[in-house]
Amino acid sequence: MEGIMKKKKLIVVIITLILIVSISLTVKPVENPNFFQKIIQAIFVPIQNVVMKPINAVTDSINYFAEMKNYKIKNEELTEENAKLSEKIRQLEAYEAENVELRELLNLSKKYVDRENVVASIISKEPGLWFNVFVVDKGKKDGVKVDSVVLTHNGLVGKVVEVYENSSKIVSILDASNQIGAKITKTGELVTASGDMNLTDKGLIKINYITSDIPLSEGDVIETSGIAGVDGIYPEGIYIGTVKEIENDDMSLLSRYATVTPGVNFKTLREVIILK
Amino acid sequence: MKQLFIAITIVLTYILQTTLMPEITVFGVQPDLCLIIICSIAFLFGSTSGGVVGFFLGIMLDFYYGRSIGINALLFLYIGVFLGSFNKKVFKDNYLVILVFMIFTTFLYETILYFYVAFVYSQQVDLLVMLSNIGIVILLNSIISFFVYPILLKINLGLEIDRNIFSKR
Repeated sequence: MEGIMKKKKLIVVIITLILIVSISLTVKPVENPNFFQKIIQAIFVPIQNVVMKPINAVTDSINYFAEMKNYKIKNEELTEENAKLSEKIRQLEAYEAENVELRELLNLSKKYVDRENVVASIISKEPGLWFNVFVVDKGKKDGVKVDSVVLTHNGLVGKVVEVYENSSKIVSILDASNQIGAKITKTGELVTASGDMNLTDKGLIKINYITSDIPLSEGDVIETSGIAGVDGIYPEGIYIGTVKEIENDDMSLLSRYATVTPGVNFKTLREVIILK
Repeated sequence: MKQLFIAITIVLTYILQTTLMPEITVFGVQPDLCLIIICSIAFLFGSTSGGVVGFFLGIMLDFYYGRSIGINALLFLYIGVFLGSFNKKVFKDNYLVILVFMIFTTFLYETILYFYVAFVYSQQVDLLVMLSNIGIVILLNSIISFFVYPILLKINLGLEIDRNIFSKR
């Protein structure tokens, strides 16, 4: 009996040592998933895919009934907005034609909207409190690559970190590891939008170190800057969100920080677009 | 029988944690089914089962996150082994004792992980956010374990009767 106990203790000690080495080696996300990760992914993705469908159906119908009373008001608002937008589209079409002409003249590269993309469904979501990772059902076979940019028509979602045969893993912009080169659309000032672990549960991100000479007000639109440096994978002009609050930094008197409400609602997210 | 049950529990817990749990949120915080299962299994089946379930669920979560591989496995392994050592010392049908231990381990686990992530990604520590989030997890876990634990207890009793019959032969 005592021999078995000693053996078990030894096993725990050995496992502990291996895990500590593994933790310290993989602090940064690993680009090439290991053998075990591939096996787990291959086994669980089809199951999760099946399980997620009824769960989505149920939560969708709960949301539907919860939101029912707002539909009438929303409908009126949308009709009004629709009329305004149609007018705006007419204006913008003229600008677009002009823009294309000018771009051709300047020999500028194509914008992200012209890039090929693939639509993917989410099959499993972040299982814990402090990381923001999820898996979608499109992978290597569909042309997804590591660092592919992920978005929806509402704005930026995140980037691909691991690619498998039929699935890929995405780290959302809410995650603490994410740093996005961004700019304030109104003024063109460059800033860095980053995930903050204290804001993820509220679905917000943060812009740090806004010096006092940068004009910024609540409701300002933030989009990707496309400038390499922090994380140069994001092409220019993807909508990130709007500024919710601006606050003074506790650490230094000179700078402020702002919380940003992303255009994407991560809690109800079901499908994403991956740029190839 | 027991090994098969443990294996099925691990697989089922992982699937539910990655699909169903993120949908059950209160103020953006979701329950941690893994912790509920590890604590329950450790109490009912002892250190070895607790450690095995902890290690495998942890390593699977680590593979899911794809970074700091081993952090969850390490924490879960020790939670399983530690709580399992009370296996023979507490009354298994006393739900309150188990609840107290579960609240304690949930608090410990989430706090350690919070400081780890804050350290690795040099995030500002906000104790208020941390404590309120952990509070919600504990609340949700308590409610869920209230339904899950009795089921596991019944299975444990069933398996024990099974074993006694076999050993008498």
